[in-house]
Amino acid sequence: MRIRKNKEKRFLKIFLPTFFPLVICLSLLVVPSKFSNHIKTTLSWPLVPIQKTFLTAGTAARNTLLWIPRSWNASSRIKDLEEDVFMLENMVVAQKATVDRLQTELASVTEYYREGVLNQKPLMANVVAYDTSDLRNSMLIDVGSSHGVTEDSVVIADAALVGTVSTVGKSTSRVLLITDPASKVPARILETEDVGVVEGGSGDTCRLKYLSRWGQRVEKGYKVVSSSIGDVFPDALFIATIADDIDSEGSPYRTLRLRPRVNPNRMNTVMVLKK
Amino acid sequence: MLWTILIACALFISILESTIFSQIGFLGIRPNFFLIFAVLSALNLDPPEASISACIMGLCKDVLSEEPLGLNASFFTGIAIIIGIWRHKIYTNSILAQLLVVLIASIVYRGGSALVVWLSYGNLAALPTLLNIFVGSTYTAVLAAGPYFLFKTFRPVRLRQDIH
Repeated sequence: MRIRKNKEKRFLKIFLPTFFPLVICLSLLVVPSKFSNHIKTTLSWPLVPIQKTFLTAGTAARNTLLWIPRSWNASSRIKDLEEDVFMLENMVVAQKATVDRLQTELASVTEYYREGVLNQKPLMANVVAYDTSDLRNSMLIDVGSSHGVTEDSVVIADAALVGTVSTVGKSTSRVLLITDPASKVPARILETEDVGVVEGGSGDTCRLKYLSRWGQRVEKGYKVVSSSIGDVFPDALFIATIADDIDSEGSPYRTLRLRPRVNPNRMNTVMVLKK
Repeated sequence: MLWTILIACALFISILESTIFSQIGFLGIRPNFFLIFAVLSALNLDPPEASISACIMGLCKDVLSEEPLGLNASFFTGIAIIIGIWRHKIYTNSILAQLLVVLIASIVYRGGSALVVWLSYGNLAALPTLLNIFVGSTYTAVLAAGPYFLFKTFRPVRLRQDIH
């Protein structure tokens, strides 16, 4: 009798409080994603001002650390010019794609393109926080449904594609970056017009998949731009440059490793294209 | 006192991991302070306290990431329970033993996360993932030395007496 009572006491005192949190956590996994996303945005909202301050302080500290060697060899001017050139290069790529289209397609298609681009209204947003996960890549921005942001809105920075909005809160949104394993962007190689899908991996790079194995010859440094297939992304947004060819023997498709044009971990402001 | 410190740590880590740590990553790999605290809780606190502490850390990580709510919390709580069961067989007062447990737990956790992502999206690059698992776990284990001293200082007196 006494042993049984001791067992019951032990169960109530140790086993129940130890396993109860696990049961709660497992039950959270079956909550519908819409509801759990709502919980996430609501719970993370109070941290936003502190995160903003920390990110600003972190960026300022990093810039100071970068400024010391820069001022040492008087290269800050070069850096500024490099940033301008970077931006202009991205714009040139988008322009080049438009020009190519104008030369080869009919006038009605060109009109459709122009309308498609102008229909999306740009909205500036600050990056508030990054993903804490080890394998996922996303970031939190300080605009939400109250600013007109909707799910699948396209996010760009320096005229290059960064990702799409995956979760929308009232005043914050989570952006799924092109390097995230869940990200899929219809794309084409600017130089060859070969069409594929840009998918994220687990690191800082992404891959261009489902290219025909018997397509045109592709070289390192070729530019990959978005395709308007599916009506989610605007046409000809610079995404990445080709870094490497991944040999996938036995597959009817070819896969290329890409280096994203912009590093999402090094940006403070982005532009959301509202639909 | 213990819960105040743990919740303060959870909030502080949440802010650091979501802001500054993204900029100090090595090859895009970041240390996981949430896991460090979950494992050290399991090694230094009673099983029920460790389980709740790991659950809080996991939920904080879930809220600030793209992963499904409850995934990291389940992983962390499971790891804390398993370590809690085995901790009497480990010489827990040694820093090396604790760092080794953090390393093994980190490899298991990162491997499990990679498996979940691969099953969900079928889309993981092999080399960066392996680098993330092994380099990230080593990075995490090395940085666990700091929190180890924090736990050594603030661990409940009762437990300290049990050990000595």
